[in-house]
Amino acid sequence: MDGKFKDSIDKAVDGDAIAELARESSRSIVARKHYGLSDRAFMFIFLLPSLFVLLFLVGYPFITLIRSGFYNFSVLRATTPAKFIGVENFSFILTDAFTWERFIFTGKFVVLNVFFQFILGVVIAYLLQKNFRGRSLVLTLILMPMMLCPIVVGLFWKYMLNTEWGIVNYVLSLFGVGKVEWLARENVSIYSVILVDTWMWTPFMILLALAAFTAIPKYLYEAAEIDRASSWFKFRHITLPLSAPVLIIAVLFRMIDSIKAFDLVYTLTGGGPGSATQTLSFDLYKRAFQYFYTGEASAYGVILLLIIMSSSLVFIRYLNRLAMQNVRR
Amino acid sequence: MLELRDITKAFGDIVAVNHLDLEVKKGEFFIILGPTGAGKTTTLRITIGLEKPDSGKVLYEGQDITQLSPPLRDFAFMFESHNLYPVLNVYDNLAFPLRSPLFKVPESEVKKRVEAIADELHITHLLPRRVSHLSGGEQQRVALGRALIRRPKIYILDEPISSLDYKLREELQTEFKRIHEEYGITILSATHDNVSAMAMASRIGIMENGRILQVGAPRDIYTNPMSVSVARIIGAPSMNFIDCVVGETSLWMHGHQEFVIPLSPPIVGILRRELKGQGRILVGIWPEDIMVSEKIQEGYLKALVENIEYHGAERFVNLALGESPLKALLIRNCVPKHGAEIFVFLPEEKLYFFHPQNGLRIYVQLGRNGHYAF
Amino acid sequence: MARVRLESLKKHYGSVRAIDGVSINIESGQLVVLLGPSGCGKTTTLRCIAGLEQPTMGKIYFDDREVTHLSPSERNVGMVFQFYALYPHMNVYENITFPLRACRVPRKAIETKVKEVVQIFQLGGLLRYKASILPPGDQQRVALARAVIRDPNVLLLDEPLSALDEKFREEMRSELGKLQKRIGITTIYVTHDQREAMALGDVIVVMKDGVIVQMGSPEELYEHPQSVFVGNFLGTPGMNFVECLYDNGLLFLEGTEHRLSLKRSDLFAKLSSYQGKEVILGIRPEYVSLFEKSFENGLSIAILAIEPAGRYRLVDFLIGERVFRVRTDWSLPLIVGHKVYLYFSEDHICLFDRSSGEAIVT
Repeated sequence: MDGKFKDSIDKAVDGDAIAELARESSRSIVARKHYGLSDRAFMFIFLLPSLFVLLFLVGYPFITLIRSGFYNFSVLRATTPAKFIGVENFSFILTDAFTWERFIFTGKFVVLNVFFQFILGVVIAYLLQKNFRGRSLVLTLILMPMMLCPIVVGLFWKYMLNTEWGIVNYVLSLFGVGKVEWLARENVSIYSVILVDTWMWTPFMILLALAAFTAIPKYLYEAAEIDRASSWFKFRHITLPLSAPVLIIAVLFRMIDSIKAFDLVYTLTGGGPGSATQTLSFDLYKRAFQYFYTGEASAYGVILLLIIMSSSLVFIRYLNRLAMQNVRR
Repeated sequence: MLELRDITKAFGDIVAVNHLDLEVKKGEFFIILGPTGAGKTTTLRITIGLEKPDSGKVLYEGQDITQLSPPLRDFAFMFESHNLYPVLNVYDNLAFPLRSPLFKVPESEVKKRVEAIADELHITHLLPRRVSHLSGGEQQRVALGRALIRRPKIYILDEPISSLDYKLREELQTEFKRIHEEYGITILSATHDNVSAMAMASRIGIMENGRILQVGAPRDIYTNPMSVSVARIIGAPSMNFIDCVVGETSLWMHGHQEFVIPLSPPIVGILRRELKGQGRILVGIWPEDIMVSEKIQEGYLKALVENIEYHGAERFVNLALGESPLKALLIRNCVPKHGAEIFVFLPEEKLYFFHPQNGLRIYVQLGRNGHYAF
Repeated sequence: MARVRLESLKKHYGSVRAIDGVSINIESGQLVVLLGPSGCGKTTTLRCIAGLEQPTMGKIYFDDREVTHLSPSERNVGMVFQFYALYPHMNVYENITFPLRACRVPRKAIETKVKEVVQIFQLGGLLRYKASILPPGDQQRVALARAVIRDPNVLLLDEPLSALDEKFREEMRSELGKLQKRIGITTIYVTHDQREAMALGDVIVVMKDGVIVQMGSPEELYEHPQSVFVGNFLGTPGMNFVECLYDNGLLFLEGTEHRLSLKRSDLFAKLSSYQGKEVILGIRPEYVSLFEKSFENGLSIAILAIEPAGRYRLVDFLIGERVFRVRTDWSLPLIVGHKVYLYFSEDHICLFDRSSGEAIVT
């Protein structure tokens, strides 16, 4: 190296001066002076706005919700002071026969709904894995329902399923099938609701399953190919177990969403016939915003929340166990 | 110049660095050699300041710099994954350290020095190219250039060349050695590649399980390893180890009383004293020190040929001596076949003895030149 | 176990010719190494043999049966992938029995087979562990066990050691060599590491840009490289090259004052057409000797660097623009910067055509 080059380097990086600086002042002060702000302070500044929003949009309403669950109170009678009644709201809801019917209906709805969507989603995703012509077009079309507004979906299915002039019954009549009362008969209407929800949300399942499938490295399939595995053997022993974590999350999402199902039901059947297709959320809506039993509805909301949380917990436990098994050393 | 004193660092239950002491002298090329997971990278990160030790001190020319943040230490470092900025071109990557707010080098000066270093490393033609479009070897040169462009106190290199294919490694190995000597810089490096470590280092520190086991010049460690672990890590191919039993007057292979390794009485005496009587012992010998013959001779042991490994300049034979696998260097005209019988002799003065439990060396001789230390 | 024959195999991806006419004949029980730099087509060749790729042209035979268009599962090959491709969610037992379970082999037969491979590959204590948490060395043994458990025709290995530590790689290399000889299975081994190729191969096939450059036993390739490329590629370090001017039995070494007078008469005949032209002299580092004293035909030169390598050391010189390496033992006291004398062993000199890089004499 020539002298000039060396000189210039020494000038630019005055190592002695820095060492001097370090010697003189306490180290942490040196570091802070240098950066202006410590990393920690920086972190807080970035976090602050979101913390603020979270506190006022989630924290405050949540506490109010729990509190009013213990009061006899209605927003319509805002002038009358709320009366503390202990757990009376909760015990009323949990002993009410009508509520139990809602529980049973919702349970049935959730299980069937998630089941159909899971099977359909996985099968369609499996078929879509292969590259074929027009694959992206098919994919886009399939994903469309999910992107629509639930109210719109509810409304147009309501018309399509109309007993007298709906297109579904018209098509069926071409094959000689008689008129089906899709939405007006108690034991049929539940399946209509499931049909529409499945139509709308299976794409979500497909999307996640497809993502999970494509994340599985190709060489595993090649290895299995060499090992002379059949397609079903590969699916059963490689595809399914390796995509399980993502599939479980997808099921979890669909389950939570189904427990809370409201908008579709509201527009499609209005909870009818009678109260046959009223989900828990629908029931809650009626108590809160039709009858304005604010206290009772709050208690109802808390119960619903607990149900969702505890059932999610089962899945999350399982997920954690899966994750633990796959931890690398 | 740089000193690590009694450094300990744990991540949860895992102790990465365990009471480590290390000193790097000015102008030295010091390489920490050890297997993956030995704690090499953690040691380097503590030296740089990216990690704070749980206990112990980092000293630079006698001053405690343990708590100093990385930029204030003014050490240059180069990681295994070269840490280049993929969106910048080579020129900007090289210029990056100079543009740090800490140094404020004028742009004209930056240009001059980037061009000087690019010329030095033969990468001038790459300057306008995006880093992500370069080959592995080119990226390594750019990373080296970026480390060299400042004149830091010390260079810290983590696995600088072991991710490259071996032809490139050979080339850069010489380049590193040349630059080290020409610039008179101080380098602390870590690698798991014993060949390049031996070729480049002024001194090597053998590391395993968070501890430095032995420090010395490459050749000294090779001829005088302190323990089984050191001997395992340093050689290519590795030292052979044979599980033996020390008897009244001789040494034989464990489980094969017919395989006797002749020893002179004073050595047997030393071994018996060290082992407090008879007992198991681990005997080590380098592959090049085993004498191989196709005909039976006095004192030779019978072994079976497993396969021959051709290494270009030399050939090794893998043998089975009883149950012990053995690797020996073959002389030119010896061409044994797979499954054939072959005879080996283990010369006494080439043997290394190790304690069976702790793997430490039992010294019966000073070097390999036959001076016994009775 | 089978013989494997490739007949002018070609694989083109659009205009890219990954393999361009490769013919190899592999005897039953042989270990053949496909060696070359990345992108030379060696992995594509292996994948064609496995059936994971369809060749554009050419034929593949196992024994006398043509398998070119059969699917991987119809060929009965065992393969170890570069990063092993173990099934990460299965334990070792499930991994190695996968090929048997996939073909519905009865439970009893599986158990006996498992016992066999567990013994060969020393997997006894590992069977219940998840494959993904094992250290790379154990993963490799599991992958090998999985590949051979159903007695395949051919064992295919795609850079099986590249995921390992330098030190460990060398140990596993010896293990692999011993195992292959013990099982006696026809093996095709792909690597870019010439040390592996030389240590393991019965035959080495050196490839470059989709074609075979040279094929033969390790010794043949090492001692008699047919081109500068092979000479440089094989050996640790590779062959030394010096550009020379040939004139009437004398070689004038470029970048030095030295001229080497040749005594071997067979050289003269082959060099007759190179009179007054430039050639490349190639010599292996171990065929150059160092002396402290001057003598006839010795080249006086200063030492550039010394690289210790355990039992021997490499001494570097600069001839012309190139680093020239000599391999020597520890008997001479050598100091960087001091002059020594080099002696070239004439029996081991190779000469190459300057423009084509092809061998004139090896």
